[in-house]
Amino acid sequence: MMKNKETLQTMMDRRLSFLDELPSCRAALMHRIAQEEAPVMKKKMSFGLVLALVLVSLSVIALAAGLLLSPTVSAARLADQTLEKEYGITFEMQTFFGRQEEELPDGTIRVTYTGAGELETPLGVYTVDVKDSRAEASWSHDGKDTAGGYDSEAWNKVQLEQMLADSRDPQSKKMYMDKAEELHAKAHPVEADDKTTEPQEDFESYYARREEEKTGALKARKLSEEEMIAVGREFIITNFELSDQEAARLELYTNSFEAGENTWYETVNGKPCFLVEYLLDEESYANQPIHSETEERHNSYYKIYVNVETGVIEQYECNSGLGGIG
Amino acid sequence: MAQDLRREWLENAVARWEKPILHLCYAYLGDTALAEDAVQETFFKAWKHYDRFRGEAEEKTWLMRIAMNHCKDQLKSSWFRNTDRSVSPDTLPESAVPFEEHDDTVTRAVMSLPPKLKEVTLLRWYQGMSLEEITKVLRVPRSTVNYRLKKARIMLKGELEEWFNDEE
Repeated sequence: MMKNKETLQTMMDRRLSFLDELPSCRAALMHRIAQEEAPVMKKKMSFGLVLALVLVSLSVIALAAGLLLSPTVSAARLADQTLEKEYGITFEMQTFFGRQEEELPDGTIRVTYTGAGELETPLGVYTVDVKDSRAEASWSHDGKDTAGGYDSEAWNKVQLEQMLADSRDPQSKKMYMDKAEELHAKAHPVEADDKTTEPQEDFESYYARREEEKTGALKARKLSEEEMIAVGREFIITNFELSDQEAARLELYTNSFEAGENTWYETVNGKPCFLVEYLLDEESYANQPIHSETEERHNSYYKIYVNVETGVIEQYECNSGLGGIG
Repeated sequence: MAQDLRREWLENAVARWEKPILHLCYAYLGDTALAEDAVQETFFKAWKHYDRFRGEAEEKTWLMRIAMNHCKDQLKSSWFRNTDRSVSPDTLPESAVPFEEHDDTVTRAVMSLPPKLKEVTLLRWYQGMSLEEITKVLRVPRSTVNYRLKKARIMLKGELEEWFNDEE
C-alpha cells in the first residue's frame, strides 16, 4: 500500500520509539500472578450470595424524578455522598478508584472504593457501610501521615486534587503513576513461591458465557431501548445534578455505532440490563470562565445499567476520564 | 511443575512480544497508561488460560487476539479519551529516536482511522500479519478484512498522498 509495507512499520516504530523506554510490565505482572496464586480469601461475592440476592424480593426505592433504584444503587448513591462529605472525595476523584458493592448477612450494604491498580497502595480503600439510610465511612489509611505530597505513604484528597490537575499532562501523570508504582513495589515485594491455584474459568468458556448472558438480557427485554435510554438520561441528570445547559450537552454513546444486537446488553448482579452510556464533553464548556464560581465539571462518562424488565437502575458509574484506570 | 512451565512460557512470551503488543495497543488506544494496562492484562489473561492456548494457535495470533479484545473493551468504556486528543501534537509524546516529519504524519494518520479500519491496518501493515492470521485475531471473515483494508487504504491515500505510490 505504501512505498512498501515495511515502510509504514519502520516509520511508526521510529515515531513510537518512546514506548521502548517505558519499563517492562514483567515485575508488575509477576507480582500480580504471585497474588493470584496465593490462597487468599477473595472479596468476590460467592455464587450462593449472588443467587440469594437474586431470589430476595426487590425492595425498590424511588427517586423524586420517578426513577426506580435498586437497594444497591440507593446505597451507592448515599456512599458517594458520604465519601465526599467525610473525606472530600468528589465524583471526579472517584475516577482513581474502583467501586464495589456487597450485601452483608445483616443487611448492611458495604460499598468499597479501592485505588485503581498500583494506586491502591497510596490511595488505600475507603469503606462505606450503609444500613437503614445511614452511612458510616472509614479509610484504610486513617491516622496515617498524608503531608508531603506524592512522597507521603498515604494520599488523601490533597493528592487527589493534584492528580486531577496532573492527569491532563502525560508527563505529570507519569510522575504520580511512577510514584504509586514505587510505593506499591515497596509495600508488596514479589513473592517467588508458587502456591496452589484455584481452577480458572476457561478463556473461551468465559466469552461464551458472557455472550450467552448478553443474549439472555436482550431476550428478556420488556421495555423499548428508547424508554431505557430516557430512564438512564434522567438518572444522570438527577443523580449528578446536571444543569439544564449540561443536560442539553449530553451525548448518547449507546447505539452510536454499528454493533451487534446484544452489544449494549449485560447481566448485572443476575439482572438483565441495558447499558445506557452518555458523554458530557468538557470542550462544550470552552466558553465558560476557568475560575467560575460554580464547580468546574470536566468531561464525564456515564454508564447506567437499566433493568430491561422493570426499568430499575441496577448499577451506575461515572468516569471523569482523568485518572489512571478509572 | 506445570506452574513452572507456565511461568517459563510467560517469561519468554513477555520478552518476545511485550514491545510489539505495547506498540499495537498504543497505536490503537492513543494513551500510554491504557496501553501499558492492556499489555499487562494481555499477558495476565494469557497466563491464566495457558492450558487453553497450547497447540491451538500461533502464539502471536493468540496474544494479539487477547490484546485486541482488551483494547476494544477499553475503547468502548473510555472512547472519549481516544478521539482527536489522543493523536494531537500535545499528547503524542516525543520520540526516543530522531524521526522524520513523514513518520509523524503517517503515525497520526493511522491512529486517526476509525477503530475497525485502524485494527486491520495495524495488524496487516504494522504487525505484518497475514490475512489468515487477521481473521483469527478479529474473528471476522476474510472478505470483511479485505473490505476494511481497502477502505483504510482509500482513507490513508487521501491523507498521505505524497507517501503513496500506485503499487498495490
